[in-house]
Amino acid sequence: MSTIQTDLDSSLTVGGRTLSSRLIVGTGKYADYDTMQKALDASGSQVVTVAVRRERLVDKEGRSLLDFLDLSRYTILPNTAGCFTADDAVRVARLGRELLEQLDNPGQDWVKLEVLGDKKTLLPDPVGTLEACRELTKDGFKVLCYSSDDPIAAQRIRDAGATSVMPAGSPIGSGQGVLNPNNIRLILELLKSKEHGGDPNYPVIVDAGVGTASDVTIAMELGADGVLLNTGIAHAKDAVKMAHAMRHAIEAGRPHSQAALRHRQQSVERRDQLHPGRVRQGSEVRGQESGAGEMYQGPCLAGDSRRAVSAFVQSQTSCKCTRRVANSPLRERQLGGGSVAV
Amino acid sequence: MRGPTPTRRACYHFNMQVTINGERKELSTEKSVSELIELLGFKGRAVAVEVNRQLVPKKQHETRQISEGDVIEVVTLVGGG
Repeated sequence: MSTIQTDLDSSLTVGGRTLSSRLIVGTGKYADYDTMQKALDASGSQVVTVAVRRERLVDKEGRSLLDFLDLSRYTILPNTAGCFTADDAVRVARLGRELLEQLDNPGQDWVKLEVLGDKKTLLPDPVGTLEACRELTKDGFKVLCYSSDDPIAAQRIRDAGATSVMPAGSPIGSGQGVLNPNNIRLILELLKSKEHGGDPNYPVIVDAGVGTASDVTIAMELGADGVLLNTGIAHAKDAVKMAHAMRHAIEAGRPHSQAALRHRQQSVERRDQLHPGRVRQGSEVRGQESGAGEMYQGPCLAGDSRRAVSAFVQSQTSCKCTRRVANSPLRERQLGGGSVAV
Repeated sequence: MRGPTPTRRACYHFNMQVTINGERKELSTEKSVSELIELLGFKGRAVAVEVNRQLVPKKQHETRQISEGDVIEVVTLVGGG
């Protein structure tokens, strides 16, 4: 039996480069470097974020991060984490660029810009972020800019020259998922729709607060071009399996967002008549994440049913992975309402 | 008539106060940036150096001398999100 090939649109173009994965993964907070290395491999990610710090953190054998990162495989994206002023963020970005030039890594002119406004919540400082974004863009950086989910702030950051806007789903490390999907939709509309002077190819990557595989799928179903996460994988009971789950979650959500509903009104009416438990979107298989058994998956009125079926298959695979890590401490925090992780 | 006075060789104890990664340090000899990197045990590792909030590119490490009162940052890449 031949396999029908479907374009699942899995590559992401940002800053003039086409990446093989829409998932960007952080390298912090892992139990050990060996686990980090395996989790990055399982995630399928091509871009990984790093921080710039004074101390070289070494394990018992004296090995540091760079001993575990295949620089020929991964593009390194330095962040400006821990910076509370535009000036500090600009300095750290330049230090990061210097390091990647020494390592001859393709991420040399990239920076994940963070200018924080509050030490507890790690929410971004909108004014400092704009200042730093303008300065770094002028200095030749491709700025992937961490932002709140405020649509106007996102617009301003795009106008300041950012290569990508990265709105937070929820506070960094909180695992609360996408708290305000309407704002994410508005950001996507303002930045990507032609009627608002946007560019459909402008990359919007949901960053921060993503804790579960279904959070990732939801972000992608909303229409995001990618997801960046760290804590959701690093703090899982089984980080490698969670990385697998996140990889499949990305692959589930993207085809869904591309498979437009043929008859949207008809589907809304039909939805009201559907038997309870019938699944309409890939993200709705999240019942399995909390330990439910098999899900009944009903028909869907997708304009591209091949992509929709692929999305459901990937969702199932993703949930089989997350079900096995359902008891991780991070999950418990999420299910308990989620407080800001410090 | 007294003969010429033998010249006394000037003696002094070299002591340069600098700040490295937030800590006050004393350097007992003059140092270039690359010598300082070696002194800190980072030779052969990827590190970036700032002196007085200005990046010193690697190609200047051999020639750039540390001065009294310099505030120096020596950084590297670590895990982060």
